[in-house]
Amino acid sequence: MATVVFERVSKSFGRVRAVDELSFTIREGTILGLLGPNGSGKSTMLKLIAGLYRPDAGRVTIDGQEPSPKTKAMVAYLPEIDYLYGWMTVRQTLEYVSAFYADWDRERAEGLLKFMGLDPEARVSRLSKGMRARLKILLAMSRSAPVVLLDEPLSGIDPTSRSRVLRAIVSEFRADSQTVVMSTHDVVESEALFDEVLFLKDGRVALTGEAERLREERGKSIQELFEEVFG
Amino acid sequence: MQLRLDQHSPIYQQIIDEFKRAIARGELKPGDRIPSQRELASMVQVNPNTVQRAYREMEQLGITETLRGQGTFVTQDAGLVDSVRREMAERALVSFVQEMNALGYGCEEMVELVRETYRRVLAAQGGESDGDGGV
Amino acid sequence: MWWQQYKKELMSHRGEILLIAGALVVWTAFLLSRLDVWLPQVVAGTYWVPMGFLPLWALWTSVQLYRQEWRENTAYLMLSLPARAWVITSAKLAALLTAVVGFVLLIAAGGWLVLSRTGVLEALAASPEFAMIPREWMVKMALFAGAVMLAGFAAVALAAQFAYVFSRLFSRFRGLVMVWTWILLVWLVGRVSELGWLLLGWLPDIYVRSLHIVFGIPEFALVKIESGPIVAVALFFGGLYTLLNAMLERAVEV
Repeated sequence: MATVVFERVSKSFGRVRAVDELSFTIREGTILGLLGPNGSGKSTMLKLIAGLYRPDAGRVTIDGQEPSPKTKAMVAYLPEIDYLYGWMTVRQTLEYVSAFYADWDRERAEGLLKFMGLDPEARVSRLSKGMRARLKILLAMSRSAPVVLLDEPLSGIDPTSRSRVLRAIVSEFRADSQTVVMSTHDVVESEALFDEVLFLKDGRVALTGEAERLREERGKSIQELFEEVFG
Repeated sequence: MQLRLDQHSPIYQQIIDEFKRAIARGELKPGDRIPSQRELASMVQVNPNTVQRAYREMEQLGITETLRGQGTFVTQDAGLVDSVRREMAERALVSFVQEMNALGYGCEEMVELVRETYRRVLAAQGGESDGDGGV
Repeated sequence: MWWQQYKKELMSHRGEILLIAGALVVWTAFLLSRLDVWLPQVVAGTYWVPMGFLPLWALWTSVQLYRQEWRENTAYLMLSLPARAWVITSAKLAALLTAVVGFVLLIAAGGWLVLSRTGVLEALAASPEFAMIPREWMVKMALFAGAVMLAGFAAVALAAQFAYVFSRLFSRFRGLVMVWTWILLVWLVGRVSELGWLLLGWLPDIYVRSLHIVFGIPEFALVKIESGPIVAVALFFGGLYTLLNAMLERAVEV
């Protein structure tokens, strides 16, 4: 397990402050829902943890260490865009990616391959959008990575694929050894997944807390709270 | 198990209620095995930690018991079904009375209306006393 | 891990590599078909022209090996892998050099074919001077030339890699930054070798035996090569490579 900490982190792109003096500690062994409209800084937060962006100010640490090849070995990162090599087949992609990770679980990968209905011989560039999303979640969940970062894993895909992706997250999540951070702007479908939620607005924390406690205290679903904060 | 979560109230509470309802209706009997936490989480696509919390509380409430290596079972306790049934009835009654009271009905009127509605509903359903799905 | 990365780099450019190999074969076949039309010397001379494009191709492809990762968003995967930067950079360099060696061997094989068909090779082999050249020396010189060529290609590729990755540190005018970095590097190599000549003169020099045939008598002469500039330039490229890895590991973003 690993603790991810943001200490007064800022990151700008030109004049836009994507993340603005953000401080936050992600609790171990939980699924955190990173919620907010487009451009609220969700994706930037995940890239900062994955080491694909470097903070302008402040510090992001994973178990006390700033992103490096060592922390990258602890992180499974699923970006929103298509980041796989189109010319590879599904099987080749698995072979290539798994070569880099000591925590790759071959059995789990084979199980997920079947569950997702992915053809191992299909070329990645020929896969439908839903199938590509399934392959991405397979790659993220076939490892026993202490930190799993899922950037909009459900966006723009068909209902069957969405349901498969959600199911894969729930069934492969190991609460005793993993921390999952999942960003989404579509709360309805995924809110039952979250232990905690973090509402981001203009790169700052607008609201955060345990999902169940928020429901109990406010008598509202996370979706309704979302509309309240961003509506 | 089908769970229609409304997400306005804590999900772990709804899971517990769903089990209680199933026990009260006799869909789950004392000694029956219930799904493992992982199975249920995957089935209803709910956070495993939430399911764990629901199971922990059900065990504390004496509704279920976990036998090491065998799984989780509905408690073998004759009084359980009655007490759960009673609790569910109580809850339904409280919300019924509150609602009717707010509509301006007194006790006698309520009782009279209940009797009338009971007869009509039973006649329409041909003897079935409940209509909801559940477990 | 390294092997997978190397394989991936080669495979991702396999189309282009096969295309060039095919073009070289066609080029050889075309010149062989000109044998009866053109003068043999012209055919034998023209044949080597593609060799001149090879450094340009190496330069372009070194940049492409990185540029493509960003253009096709696979940089997200490349930069999230838990590999040290040298695994990525050396795999890309090795893949490029593999292709270069392949092309050179292909050109050499074709060259042998063309030369033997034009009769140039036969004439050479029949000459009395040729018989005087020790075989051992010939093999040594061929290996020496090969090593120098490979080092040259590696230097070109490394400088190109560096220029591109350095340009990624900027959010605008990347093309300009890359070209200027490249020009600056070429200039720097010149300065560094001068500096090496001045400061590292105390290093033992390298001697290469050169062969002269005077009036039908083979004579060896020792040619002195200053090792100072070579060592300085080698150190410079070592530093450049370290810096390249540091940039990729610590500074570059998707």
